[in-house]
Amino acid sequence: MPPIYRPSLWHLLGVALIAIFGAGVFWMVLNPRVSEDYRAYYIARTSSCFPRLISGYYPLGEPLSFVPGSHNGYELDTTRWCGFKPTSSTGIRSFGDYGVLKLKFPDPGEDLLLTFTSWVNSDKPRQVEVLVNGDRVGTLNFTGYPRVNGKIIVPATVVAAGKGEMEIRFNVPRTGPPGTNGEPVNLELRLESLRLVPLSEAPPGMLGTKKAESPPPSPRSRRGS
Amino acid sequence: MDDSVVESKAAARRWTWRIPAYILLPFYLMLIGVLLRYAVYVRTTNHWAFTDYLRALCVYDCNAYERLSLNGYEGRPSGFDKGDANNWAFFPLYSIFVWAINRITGLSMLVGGSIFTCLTTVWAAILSWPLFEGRFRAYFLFCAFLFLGPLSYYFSTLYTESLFILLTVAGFVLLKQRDYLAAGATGALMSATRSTGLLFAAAILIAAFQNHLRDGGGARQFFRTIWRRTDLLLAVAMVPIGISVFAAYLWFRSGDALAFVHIQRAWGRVFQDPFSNLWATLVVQFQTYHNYSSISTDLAFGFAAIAGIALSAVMAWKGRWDWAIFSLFGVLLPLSTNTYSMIRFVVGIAPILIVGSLLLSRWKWLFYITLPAMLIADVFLLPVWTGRSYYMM
Repeated sequence: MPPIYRPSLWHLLGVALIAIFGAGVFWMVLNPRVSEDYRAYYIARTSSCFPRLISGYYPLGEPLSFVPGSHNGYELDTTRWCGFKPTSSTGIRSFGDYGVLKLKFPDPGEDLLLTFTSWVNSDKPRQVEVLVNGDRVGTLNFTGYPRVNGKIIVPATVVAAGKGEMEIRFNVPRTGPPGTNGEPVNLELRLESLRLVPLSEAPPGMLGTKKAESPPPSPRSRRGS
Repeated sequence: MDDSVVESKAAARRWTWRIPAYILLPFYLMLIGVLLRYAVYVRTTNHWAFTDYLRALCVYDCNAYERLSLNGYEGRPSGFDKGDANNWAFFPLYSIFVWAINRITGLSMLVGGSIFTCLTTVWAAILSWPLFEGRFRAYFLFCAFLFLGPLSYYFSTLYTESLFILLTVAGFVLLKQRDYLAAGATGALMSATRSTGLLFAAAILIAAFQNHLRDGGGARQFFRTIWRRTDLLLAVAMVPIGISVFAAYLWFRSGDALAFVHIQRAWGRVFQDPFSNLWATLVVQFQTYHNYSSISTDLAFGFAAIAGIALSAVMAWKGRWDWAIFSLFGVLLPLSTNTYSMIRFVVGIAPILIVGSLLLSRWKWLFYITLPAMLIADVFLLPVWTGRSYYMM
């Protein structure tokens, strides 16, 4: 004899209440109220890092060290914004498609000389693009593991475009297909130290002949000049 | 006075006060396990403080659950090297209990949480007895695995496995008793403990279907009359309540109701084909690292997933489809994001442990080999666990 079931109004009332609550939660799922950086990194997965909340403070002209306990330089971790891991004995290491530093300082109204020490975790030749405030200002050519001392002149127009803030972005290439975590494998750029100094105040030895490394100004910086 | 009458009265009194072995056994094994591991800890570290021992056991996610109990959910993600992690990934129910114990007793989160975990596991073991259908040897092995097995750490420090196993066992016992509403309420608590708790909704439906067939009903009739099964409807509807309340809380806290899913990016988890993930983890040490001499953590996680899937197949073969579907998807759901922590996820699925115990205790010789092997592994793996080995995680 197959069993006979009788519906209960109380059960249906319970289901209705849960359904109303469920609909509310469903609406919340469909309508996140989050910041753009959160949406880009966690929901759309279009960015490869989630920005840190930093002051960006940088005393212009001072060497900036990314090695804790180093013997000289400004050490506070105030400029590492996105795509760089914390400071370590080998400096800061990039992850994802790019690493970005944000520096805040009063605009000196002239060209700046950007210098830094860097190396990568690859024995093959690799290129890393350097952008300042969205403009490409140079390309680093790594032949392998040897250190590359970057020396790039940042035009005053590019500095002015940041309105008191400078975003230095290092675009690193992808070196492998995504693994089981869905994240692409990228070249790891390591920065040990960095310095920005007004060109007029740069010691003569710092300029050398390396200015040739800087590419011609991009269309945007030409417009500004 | 008639002696026989006196004796029978005494016997009756003894019977009344006798505590069944299936209740005493988990208590004894839990105490033995705690003392044994403490002794090993003292022997290897020369530290006598019991709280030092509890602190040493509390590694990886244990710290996250402890902090969650202490401080609640965090704000903007900033954890890990990449600065993208926080504790939104951790479901709340376990930490709520630990927080409540702290408030009521004044014990620290670590001590109160460790006691809560041990007692919850004891309770889970006792509740599971009806699921063994009188097979005491298998029950003994199950309890020994929980309290003296190579992964007993999950069941003695601040991890959700104990609570989840308790709720899973309670849910399946209630389904066995055909109390679907209580099972649904248990499912709601399960989904507030771990995301895989949602799968209990499928287990309720399957159990009801199988019970319907056992009662002489037909498959077609079940689906034709399911709209009358309002108890079943309510039971299934109750299961997602736990996760929904958590999602609603996260919407108010972070603005993202699915923050517990999205934050998984910090752990490198993204939804993909689980079988591709499994294959990738099985071959990575050979194809990428050319390692043919040891078992990497990837391979170990892959083996754990295979064991979980295989035991789910055994459940299906034995006709326990509610257990089988719950366990299979309990393995495939985390496997679809990554294989990391697979050992822990498999060990946290009660039917897998029960069926494993039933299999390993089927022959006496196997039972007598397994028991000391587990005990030895428990002793030797303690320093591995406290040393934060990825294998065990």
